[in-house]
Formats: sequence, structure tokens, C-alpha cells
Amino acid sequence: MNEYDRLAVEYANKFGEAFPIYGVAYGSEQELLEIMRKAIEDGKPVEPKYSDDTEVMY
Amino acid sequence: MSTRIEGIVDRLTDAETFDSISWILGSGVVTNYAESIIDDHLKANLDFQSKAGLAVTVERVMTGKDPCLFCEKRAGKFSYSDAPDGLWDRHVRCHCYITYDNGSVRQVLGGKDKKWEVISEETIGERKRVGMEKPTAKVLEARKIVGLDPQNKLAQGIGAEHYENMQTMVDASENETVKRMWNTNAHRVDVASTTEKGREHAFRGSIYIDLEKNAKGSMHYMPYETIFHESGHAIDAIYAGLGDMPAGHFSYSYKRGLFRDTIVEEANTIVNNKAKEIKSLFAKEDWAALHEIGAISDFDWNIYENTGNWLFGDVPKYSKAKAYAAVSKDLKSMSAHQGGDVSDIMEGATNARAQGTMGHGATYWKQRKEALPTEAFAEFTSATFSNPESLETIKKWFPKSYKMYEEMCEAILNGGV
Repeated sequence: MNEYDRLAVEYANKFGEAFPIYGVAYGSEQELLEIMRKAIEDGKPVEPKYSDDTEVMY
Repeated sequence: MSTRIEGIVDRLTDAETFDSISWILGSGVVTNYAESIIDDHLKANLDFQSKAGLAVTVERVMTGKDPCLFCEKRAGKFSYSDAPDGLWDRHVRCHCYITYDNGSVRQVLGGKDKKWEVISEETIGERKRVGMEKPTAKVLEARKIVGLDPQNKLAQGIGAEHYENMQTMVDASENETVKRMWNTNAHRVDVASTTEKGREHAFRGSIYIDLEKNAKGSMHYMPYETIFHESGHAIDAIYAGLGDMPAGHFSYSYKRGLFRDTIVEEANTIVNNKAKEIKSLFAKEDWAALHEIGAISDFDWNIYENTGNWLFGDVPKYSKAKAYAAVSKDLKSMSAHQGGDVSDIMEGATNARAQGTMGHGATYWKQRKEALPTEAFAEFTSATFSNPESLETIKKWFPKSYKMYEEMCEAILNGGV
């Protein structure tokens, strides 16, 4: 398991939901891991953002 | 062939004045005739090679901005002996490519050029390695010629090198049906953006991707997996309405929602089987085994193990939530590469009661009624070509659904359900 997997399991165990990676904006891999770490540390799950147009699929 | 010539000559000689019929010489009738001559020549050639014992395949590839249903129904790749008769049919101004491959030589007929062009001469030995080793320079060059067809929107959008890399992955797939579906439709996928920073998506037939990042892959996605995923969405949208309902992505409308129902049924079976296992362990009061499979949390187990008592004296009892927790533990035991797709599908199929390492989130599934079949269609497509680990997991968890996905690919190739 790599760092993403480790954080994703920690995230799911903490919040009872999978990390919503499809709805998260990030540039680099490091940026993504920081978003995950911060959510876990702050105790606030990430709110995925999707278009209101339901024809847009992620 | 002579009948076609006679038909044109009759039209010309029957006309009262040359001006009234001169249009025919510059029309699609003549274009169609020229292409049909080459098709006839090709067919005779293939006939001979096939009878000579060579493994000959023939492929009809559509071109144009919006290929017609006539061509869609005839497009595809077949072994010569199984090729349907209709594969050779052409309509006026038809510019489909028809290619043949006898294992050592491949030729492409460009509809507009009306001429044969030999584009590769691989040895049979080299051909056997395609998909396992980097293709030869000749093959790369050949694919660039085809890939950079101005009508191939995907190749134009991502460039020859990335297109070639993706095509090599497609070639390596052993799933002939999905491969044919891809090969006859990928060129229709419009690349609207190559610089999305996360939240890659598809809207109708267009995809919005982060090309460089998606090409490299990451800790959670395989190289090109996201591009295959979004292209899967786009193809699913291009065939909207082809199913048994008037609107919606094809995967949603196929057989009035049967794909979605099958996914949910298989997800429920997984949860119900886990529930049976848990009930049996509760009957035996096998607390250690219940903790091991995730039905009792680490927190509760640690208290029990250290004190010999349950928190507040509450002896654990069976509930369906414990079955979901146990399924979630299975999902979380896999890496994102291995179980990310199935994790997402289980989330969608269980209203987010089961979760693993990746998901769209509960709101997404509630907001989009087409999401579950559509995401599964995209994930099955990307797993087939770019993520063998995930494909193995998908086939293990959702065997019926994957089979139905293959049926849908076949239906797309046949132009309807």
C-alpha cells in the first residue's frame, strides 16, 4: 500500500465514507496528499464539488 | 461490377442533354463506385489469402464528424471468415476505411484517397509480441498515419504519442468485444480540455482531462486510466437513446435499466452473503472472528480484550450495518489500483453504506440517477485497457455486470439492443 492508500483507509475509517477523489481539484500528487492529511487532521471531510448539470459525469 | 458501370453509362446516355446529367461525374455516385471497385478487389484478395490458410482479419472503421447509423451497424473488426456480408456495403459518399491484416502485412484503404497504402510490414514473429513489447518504429509510424487522421478527434486532441500509447494498451487487451467497441468509437471522442486540474469529467461526447498527469498515472490511477474512463463516459453518451428508453446514457437505458439493476443485485448479494457469515459467527459468539472480518470495531474489541467486558456492558448483536462494515473492511484491504473501481461501484450501489479507498460521494449518487450504470460503464472500460488488477477485482465482485457490459459493447457495435 502506498501513501494514498494509507491515507484513504484512514480517511474512510475516520469519516465513514470513501475519499471523494473524483470531485477534488488538485494539481500535483503532493497537493492531493496534503488535502487528505489536512482533512484528517482537521476532522472535516472533504466536500466534493460537482457541476449542477447532471449530464456532466466525473 | 459491370452492372454498376452499366448503370452509370445508362444514366449518361439516356439524358437529353449533357448539362442535365454532367453532375453525376462529380458526384458521390462516382466516388462510391470508385471505392466499391477497391472494396471488390480487397474482398477477392482476402478470399484468396483466407483460403490459402492465412489468419486474415478485416476491419471497417467509420470516419466523419457524425457517422451515420448505416455505417455504425457495419463497423467493426472480424476474422475474414466471420465477417458479415454487410461489412462491404457502402452508401453514396461513404468514406469508411476498410483495412485488412493477414498477420504479416496490413493495408489501409483511405476512403478519400481511393488508393492502397501499405503502412507496415511486420514479420509474423514481431506481430506476436505486440502488446508485450514496444512496437517497432514501422508500427509506430503506421499508427501515427492512422491516428492523425483529421477525423480522429481523440488522436487530434491528445496527440500522436499519447494516442499510440493508448492504442498499444488497447491492442494488448484480450477482450476482443470491448476492443472492437473501442476501435470503432474512440475516434469520435472529442477532447475539449487537456488541462483540468482534478475533477476530470465528460460532458456528452467531450472529455476534459489533465493530459500530462493522466498519462503518467499516480498512486491511485494507472497511466491513461482516467482518459479511458472519461472516454468511456463520452462513448456512453454518444450512444444515448440507443437503449430501450428515450433518453439517458446508453448504459442507463440499456434494456430499461437492467445494467443498473444487475449491479445493485450483485452488490446486495455480496452484502447478504457477508450478513449470513456474520450471523453464523454471532450464533457461535466467535468475537475474535467477528473483529477479524470487521463486524466489531477495533475500539470495541480493544476494550473487550483488555477488560473482558463490552463497553457499557452492551454485548454486540447482529445488525445489517455490521455486514456493511465487514464489506467495507474488504474494500479497504485493497489498494486503490486494485479495488478503487469496485469501491466506487459498491458505494454507489449501497447508497454509500459500504466504502473503500475511492468514491464519488453520497451526494453524487443521489443527484445523478444515471450515475451508477454510467460510472460502472466508464470504470469497466478503463479497467479493461489500463488496469488489469482492477479488472480482476471487477470480474470477481461483479461477474454478471461485467458480462452485461460486454453485451452492451456488442449492442453498440450492432447499432442497438
